[in-house]
Amino acid sequence: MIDEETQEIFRQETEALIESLQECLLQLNSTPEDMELVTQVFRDLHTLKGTGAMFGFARLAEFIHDFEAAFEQVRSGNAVVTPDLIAVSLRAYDLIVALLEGEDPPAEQDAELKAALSAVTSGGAAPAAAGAEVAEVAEAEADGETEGWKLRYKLPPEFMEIGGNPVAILEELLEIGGPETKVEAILDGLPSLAELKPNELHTAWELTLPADADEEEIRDVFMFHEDSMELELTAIRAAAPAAAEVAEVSAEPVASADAPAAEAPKAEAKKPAAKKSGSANVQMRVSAERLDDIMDRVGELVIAEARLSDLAQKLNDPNLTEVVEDIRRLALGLRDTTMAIRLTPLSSITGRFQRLAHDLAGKTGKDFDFVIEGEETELDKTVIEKLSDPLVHILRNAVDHGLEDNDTRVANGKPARGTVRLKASYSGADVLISVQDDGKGLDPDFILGRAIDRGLVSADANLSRGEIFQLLMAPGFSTAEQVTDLSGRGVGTDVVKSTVEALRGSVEIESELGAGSSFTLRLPLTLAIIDGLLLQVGEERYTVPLAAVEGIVEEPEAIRDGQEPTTTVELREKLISIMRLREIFETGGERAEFPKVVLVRTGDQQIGLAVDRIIGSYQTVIKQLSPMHSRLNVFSGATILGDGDVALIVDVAQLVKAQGLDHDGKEQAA
Amino acid sequence: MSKEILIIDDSPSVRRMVAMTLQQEGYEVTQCEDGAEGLDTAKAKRFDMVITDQNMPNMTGIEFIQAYRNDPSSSGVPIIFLSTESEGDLKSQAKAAGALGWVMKPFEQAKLLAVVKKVVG
Amino acid sequence: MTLELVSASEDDLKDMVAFEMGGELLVVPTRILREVLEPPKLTRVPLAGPYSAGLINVRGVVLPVADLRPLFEMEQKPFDIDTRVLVLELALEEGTMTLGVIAEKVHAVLALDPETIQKVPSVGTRWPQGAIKGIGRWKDGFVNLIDVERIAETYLGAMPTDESLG
Repeated sequence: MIDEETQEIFRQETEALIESLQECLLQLNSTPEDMELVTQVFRDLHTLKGTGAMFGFARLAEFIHDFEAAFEQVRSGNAVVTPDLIAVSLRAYDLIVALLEGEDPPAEQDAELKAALSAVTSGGAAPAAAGAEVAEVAEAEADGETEGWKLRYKLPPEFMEIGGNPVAILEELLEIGGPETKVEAILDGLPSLAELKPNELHTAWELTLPADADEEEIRDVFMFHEDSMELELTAIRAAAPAAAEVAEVSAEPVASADAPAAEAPKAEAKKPAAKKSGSANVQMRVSAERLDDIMDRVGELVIAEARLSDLAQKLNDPNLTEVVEDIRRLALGLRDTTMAIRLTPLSSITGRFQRLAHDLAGKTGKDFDFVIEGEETELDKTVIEKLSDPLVHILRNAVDHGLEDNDTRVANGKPARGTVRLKASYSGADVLISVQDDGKGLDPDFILGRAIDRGLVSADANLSRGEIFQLLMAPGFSTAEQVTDLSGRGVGTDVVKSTVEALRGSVEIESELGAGSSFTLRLPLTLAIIDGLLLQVGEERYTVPLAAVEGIVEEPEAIRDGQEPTTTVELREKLISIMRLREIFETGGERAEFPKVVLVRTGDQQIGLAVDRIIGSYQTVIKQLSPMHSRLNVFSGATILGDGDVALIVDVAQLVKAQGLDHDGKEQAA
Repeated sequence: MSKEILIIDDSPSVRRMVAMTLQQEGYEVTQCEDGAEGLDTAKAKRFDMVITDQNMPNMTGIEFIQAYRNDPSSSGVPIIFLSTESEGDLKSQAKAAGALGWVMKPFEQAKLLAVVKKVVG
Repeated sequence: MTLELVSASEDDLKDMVAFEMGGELLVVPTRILREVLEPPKLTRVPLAGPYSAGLINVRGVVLPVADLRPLFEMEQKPFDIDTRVLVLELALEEGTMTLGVIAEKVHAVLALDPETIQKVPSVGTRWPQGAIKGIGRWKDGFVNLIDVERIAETYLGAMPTDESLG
């Protein structure tokens, strides 16, 4: 009955919940007093329990019930958050994850963890709020020999006001009783005509039902109202008028405040619905294909809008201009919203890194602070998912190989406590994600020596520092000696590199011996629409991402007549490599009288693109190239201009690489 | 004319499951993800029935029931309250606030359907 | 035995579109023909090699256009009043690919008699390996059944390869 899509939504929902749960638990470790976190943990558990039970995870629901109870103790002030509680909770979290993944861990684990949870929250018996259920089950079981049933009931006066239907109730009873049922309306509770409100119900009914009517079925008719109505159900006995057999429920209307009052603080505390949970809750699953469709249409809209703007400018009609302005605003708004759909903040996966850091600290015995910066940096969701494993690997390496143990640190005059920083930020058209540690740093001589030993480079290779560090990621560099329990499993460093390169990104490694290392993943923003700068080369037009452009200068006369694809020139007191697009692209056509150089940033380099003319900045809708052209890495796509022509989008980083101007590209460019 | 039912639950999976169960039986279903949104929706249009969860951000189920019942447009609209077993005490609060009945989580789809049929026919 | 190469597409033979290039008549099944365009403005793709004619905008979709003449060692005469672009939808191993192909002139839709189809001699022709499925007779002359899917995969880089240009 539950279709696949619902299952998938359930999966995503629980993923977000357990991510939030883990994050809160880890944060509680450092700020145990934070009651808001406790409440959030409680809420997450509660939702997990309820939803899990709905989807058939009975063992999960049962286990979480006790987990939740432990946190209820904390919430109500009977227990406090201790490192022990967090440790047990994290193990309980692991069990939840295993159960959600359909694993079947030994059942003793549940019991052991439940006991541990209960023990660390003041060893008291975890209270199970079972009272209500008991009350529900409390139904007198009347036995045999019945000749029939006498039923007298009066529904609450507001019954119709709250959407009840007295006729439906009667019909249901008649169905249970069959044609032998006798019905009589009792009108003595009726107020005077003046006081009578049309929506209030004052009629009582008396029914006689045959013996074969099922008592439970009769009671079920009133299941929602038993405690707010008058209900007498009496078995008509063949023999003596046995008053004792009367099973009577005649409860006060629910308004009597004493029962709920005892539990009131609980309901109260549940209420502060933390806004935060928004991240965990509202998720909608849309197929990537449909998203691409929307993106295409928005792209076309943006193009059509550009043509409309052109036209309006020519016609110069103020009324038209006004409407065009509106459409422009709407189109751009729509574009931004649509693009944002694909984006997810890095924070959606940082929870697992925090957990990893916590575990690593425990296993290595190294004390360190794990700092996350720029969690709000957004990337395409598919990219973020692919980055998780590489980042885990780098993080492990940073703690395992980067950080020294505390004594060594002190001996070297460093603070005993190390720091590992996960940092995300935007840089031009790229996103940077780096893992930095203040550990012992990388020794270039050692790395080079090993690479030569392993035959990865020749002994007389003349490599820069950066190139030597890149060797760390060469396949076959890692050695058995390096494989420890921590970093030895999972992906290798060479996989980090290939994963990132598959996303058109690169890995930069910097390190200072004794001071620490940093691994930076540089990834292009994979957006479907970018702001582009349109350039003219000969008769052809090309687009570069505006975010990468740092300046435009007149082409220095010194190089104006050159014919080589690349050259170097001093600009603004810096030596800059220039790529002549006319020569690289073999465009031909007439040269402009005053050619320009566009300064673009790629990686940590500034590069000049020599072009004939700057046309201007445009909304650029990126169209993927077909397999026929996509293997030409130097173009990241094409776009349709306002006049309907197609222009290619230059991938500056790839062009730099193809021309051999990047730092570590000397060999492959040859 | 098919009956229209409003379901308010912050869990997309539960919401979808309820919606699909009801849609298969020919009910028209509108979904809201918290009490506040549910309140706006319920006030804007009369439904044949409202089903609400309790534990939701922005506005809980009981708060929703109270607020909705304060609005005259709610007169005669049955509200079914979704509750988990540990919240037994909430059932009576929900009733006091003006719910017609409740369904305990976890529920089977058939059970939910039976309750809905009983209430709206 | 002549039909071995084309048997799977015998139905296609009844409905072929013929176009002219370098003095030869080439045919492709109309089944894969989406439309015939007047030569639109082509955007050249630098570094893409001789078979790429460039990119065109067909109602908001960017399509690659191939020029098969260098592949068939034909002279590339400039576009004229008869030049067209055939938009073909190819079923490749990697999925569907929509490709424009330059035609110097488009002739009629015609039906070929399967009996007349012959295999191409493997040596001594201008046709590169695998580019032609067979040669058929039509009226007084010959028509060449080109295998556009195969050409796309083998010569136009629509198959993923390790080599990277750049």
